[in-house]
Amino acid sequence: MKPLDLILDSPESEKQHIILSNFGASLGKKSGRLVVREKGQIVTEVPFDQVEQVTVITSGASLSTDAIEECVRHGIEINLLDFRGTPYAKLFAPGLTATVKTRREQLLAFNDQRSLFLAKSFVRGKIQNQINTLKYFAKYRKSARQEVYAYLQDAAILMEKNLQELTGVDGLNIDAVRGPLMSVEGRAATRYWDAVAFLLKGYVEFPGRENRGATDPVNSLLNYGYAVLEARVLGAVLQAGLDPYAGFLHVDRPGKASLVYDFIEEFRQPVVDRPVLAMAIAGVEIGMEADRLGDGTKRELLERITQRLSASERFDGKKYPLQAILLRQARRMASYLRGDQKYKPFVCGW
Amino acid sequence: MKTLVIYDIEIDKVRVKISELCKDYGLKRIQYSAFFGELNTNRREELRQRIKKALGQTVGRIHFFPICDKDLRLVAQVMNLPEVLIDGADGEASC
Repeated sequence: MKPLDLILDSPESEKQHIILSNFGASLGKKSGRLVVREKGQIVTEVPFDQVEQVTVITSGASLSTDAIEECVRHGIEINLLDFRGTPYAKLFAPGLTATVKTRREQLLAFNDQRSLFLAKSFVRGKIQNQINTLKYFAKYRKSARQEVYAYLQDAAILMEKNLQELTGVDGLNIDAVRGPLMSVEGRAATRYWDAVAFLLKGYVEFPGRENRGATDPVNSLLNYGYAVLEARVLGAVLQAGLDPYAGFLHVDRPGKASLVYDFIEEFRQPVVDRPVLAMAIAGVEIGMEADRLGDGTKRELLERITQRLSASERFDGKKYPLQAILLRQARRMASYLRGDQKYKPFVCGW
Repeated sequence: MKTLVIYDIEIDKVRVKISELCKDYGLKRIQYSAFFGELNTNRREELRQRIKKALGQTVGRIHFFPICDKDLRLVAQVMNLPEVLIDGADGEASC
């Protein structure tokens, strides 16, 4: 039993994000509560309406159908991630959100100006967020590490020029200008990661940005983090009634949710890069097992990303938690495609 | 508003059912037959209805006391407890 003091002082309970990270853990239902068991012992019990999300990041876990049904009824998403953090399955109610009009417009938009406008918005948002991330980390080094401050500021100035180049990219639809657009994005990214490498010097070994198959700690954290974010972005896109497979900036590839890869661009830096870079700079031990992130580290990262998603940022003149902004942006994209509203990329403050 | 729910129910099976309901609503056990936690008016009423249904025709009494913030500050306790879990109180497996 908890002493009353603890209960009296407990803040208004926020919804919890349940993470199954230990081999053999099981998710079940007891009365009206979601129960996590390990080795037959209950380790967590939370009433369903206090659960935000469930994420399984281990192998060998089991879910009961009763728990799944109750989660779906309460609109709780269940994400199953593989060892890389990539979502290999997601459980939600069928026919929850598909609206025909949105999807029809989304597909039609591919051939007109809307596709270009959205693709440019994603790239603009991404570059602006990269700039702001550099400014954010520069801010705290203005006096302490002058040379880092200067380096990051210079990179930011050069990237502002990349942003201006975007204005000149124009055509009938996205297909006409995909090359030039990707080129601007690529050049900005090169500058950004170069600046990140300079920032991390002396803290941790960072060989520059590597996507697939990276074996160094920082890239492994980034890759795992992006995969986790991907699951959340996919959820937002589906909730907004969009087709995740029909992207604009990223070309169609069977089985690739290209709209997710488009839309995720606005959120990589605010949601993943910041906590990952903060971890690297703070000297948090990044446990590796055979060139992969250790289980403890994965959990630690996931918890930090979850925290980041509940942290409030300015959006539309108000403060919202990042995960709410993610949903709002997805709905806004849908409504832009239907011709109801303007679309502006999300830019995180610094 | 914080709410205190206390009960006297003789039949084990019904008592367990009601303690489970309290937990479903996010309340925490603070005594063998007392639960405490945050419930807004709607959820308090909802819980009351469900407890009423669970009690059925069984002999028993359940009280609900909403406690406002002003009075919450005056709450006091006297305690000498070994560090034990009372979670197994109503004959459930303790954890």
